[in-house]
Amino acid sequence: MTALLDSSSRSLVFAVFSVFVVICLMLCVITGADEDDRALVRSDSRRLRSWQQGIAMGGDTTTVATVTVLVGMVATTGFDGLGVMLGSLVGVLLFLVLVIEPLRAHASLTAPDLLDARGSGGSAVRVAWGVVTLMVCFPLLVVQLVVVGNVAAALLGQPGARTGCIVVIGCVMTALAVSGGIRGTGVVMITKSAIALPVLVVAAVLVLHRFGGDLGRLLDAASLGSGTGEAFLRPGGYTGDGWVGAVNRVGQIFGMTMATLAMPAVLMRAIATKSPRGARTVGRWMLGELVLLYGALAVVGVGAAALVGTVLREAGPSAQVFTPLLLGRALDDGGLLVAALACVLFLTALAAVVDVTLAAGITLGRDVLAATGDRQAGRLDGTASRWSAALTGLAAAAVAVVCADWNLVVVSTLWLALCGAALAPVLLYALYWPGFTARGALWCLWGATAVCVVALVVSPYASGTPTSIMPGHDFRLWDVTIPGVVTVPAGFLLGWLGSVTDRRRRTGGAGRPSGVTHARAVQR
Amino acid sequence: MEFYEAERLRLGVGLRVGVRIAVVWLVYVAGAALVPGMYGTDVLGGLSLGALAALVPLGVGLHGVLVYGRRVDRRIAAANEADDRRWA
Repeated sequence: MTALLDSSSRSLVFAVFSVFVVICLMLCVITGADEDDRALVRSDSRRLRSWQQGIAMGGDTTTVATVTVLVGMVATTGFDGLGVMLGSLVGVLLFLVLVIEPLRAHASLTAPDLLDARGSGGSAVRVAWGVVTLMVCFPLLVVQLVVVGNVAAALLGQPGARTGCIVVIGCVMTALAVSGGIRGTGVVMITKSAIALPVLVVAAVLVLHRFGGDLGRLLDAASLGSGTGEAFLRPGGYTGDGWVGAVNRVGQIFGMTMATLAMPAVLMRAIATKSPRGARTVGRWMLGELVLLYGALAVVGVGAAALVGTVLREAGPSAQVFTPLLLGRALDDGGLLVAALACVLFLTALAAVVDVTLAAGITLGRDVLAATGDRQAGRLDGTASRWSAALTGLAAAAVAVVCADWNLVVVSTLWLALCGAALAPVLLYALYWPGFTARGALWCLWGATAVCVVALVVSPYASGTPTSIMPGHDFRLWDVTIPGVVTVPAGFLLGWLGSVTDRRRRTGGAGRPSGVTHARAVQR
Repeated sequence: MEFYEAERLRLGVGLRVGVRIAVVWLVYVAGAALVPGMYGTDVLGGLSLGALAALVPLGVGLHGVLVYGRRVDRRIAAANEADDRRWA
């Protein structure tokens, strides 16, 4: 992969990236949080407009893995990759009608405020939610840093520079998250989208232009290039056949939908919107951006199968992250498109990790560390969250350096499973089931986490195959690698069971907001 | 209108629309899991049945988002009107 960029394109990529970093730091300082307010968590005075928040939220849903690994998955497996994109889009649609408005109406700073308001909260639930959120954010940060480190080292043509790239990008993202707060990182996300979206749309248009605008020709070429033939648009390319394939497929597509309902960075931005009605407008902007983005990514993925499918097949699964760059080189010999796509990868990684770092920092500061002490609103929220964000970002960079050579697919599967099986059921129960109690929330959060971990430990990810974490041992109980079909129902079941067996369950239902939170919500 | 009442209306509409989207989506996913061969059938200029059928949950979802906003606004406005009439 050392020949991905010639020297002039390489200089262009790093010049654009450096300028972007400097501009983002300036924007974060100018628009960012003041020391004496809690704008790191939520900006009450200088709030972003609805369309700006919507674009930022759309950016939160798109990680660097979406632009690299998912596009590679579409190129090599066809339908299964497209199914993940579709699952994510349907997740956004469900988020808009089920979660965003009531969440904004009840939560003042973080999602556990909603649980407090709906009668199923408390400090134990707050800590549990915070810990599970960190278990989602931390692997996500590590995976993104490793991916962007690998891409940066390949672009430099020096594999040994990977550690340096991870450390530099980790430090930059931490600085952006700490200085910018919710408003500054929103501006970074908008800047990223303003660059990434047009570049990806242009790449998609160039792919269609290459095939004369004929979708049939493009799909035929993709079937041929991917080496799968007619099976390219048939389920099973990634998930496999038989009952294991069926279970994997449901887990993958449905699990992605559930995970999208409760992604911590998206929840953070939804809470930071102007009003419940404003949250609806924000959601529509987010949906519009994602439809355009996923449409472009799908065409780019299918185009990659058609134009560079053979190269991808020969290079193996590790080359999937370079799919957009390989396609860019095939579409434009001059190197300009490759340089632009490389910029998109860097900017996506930087912006996405900045927001996840901020979400993790806010959760650690407000839900985990402050839940046990005497929590004060205002300055302490901002200070604790600022220090927590710095700690999280630096720790993630350190862990990413150590884990850079590991098989991180299992880590990605874990955070998606946790998001869909532990966080999403608690949110939905708290909103729509008046009988949901704090005990149910605790059972759901801790129980679903345990189920997710056990499901992965007994899968081929942990043992029994040459690519497992422990290839010398074999204690797997099943061959399913995407356990969403078990973990999501288990999360719902545990939440229900914990609530109906709770002796302190309130007879009047938990649906009516409690006095203090209700008054605060009305004031807003 | 009381905050709680508006919230109840909003949740009621959201739940109905959300369940509709989720059921259509689950049927589509179940089809992909159980009859992958049928989803792979070429039906229109290289497009498979599964790829074309994906338009159904997407369409239902997009329609649901639009309907949700309209219904919530209409119901809250109607409830406010009734409230005003009661106190007039």
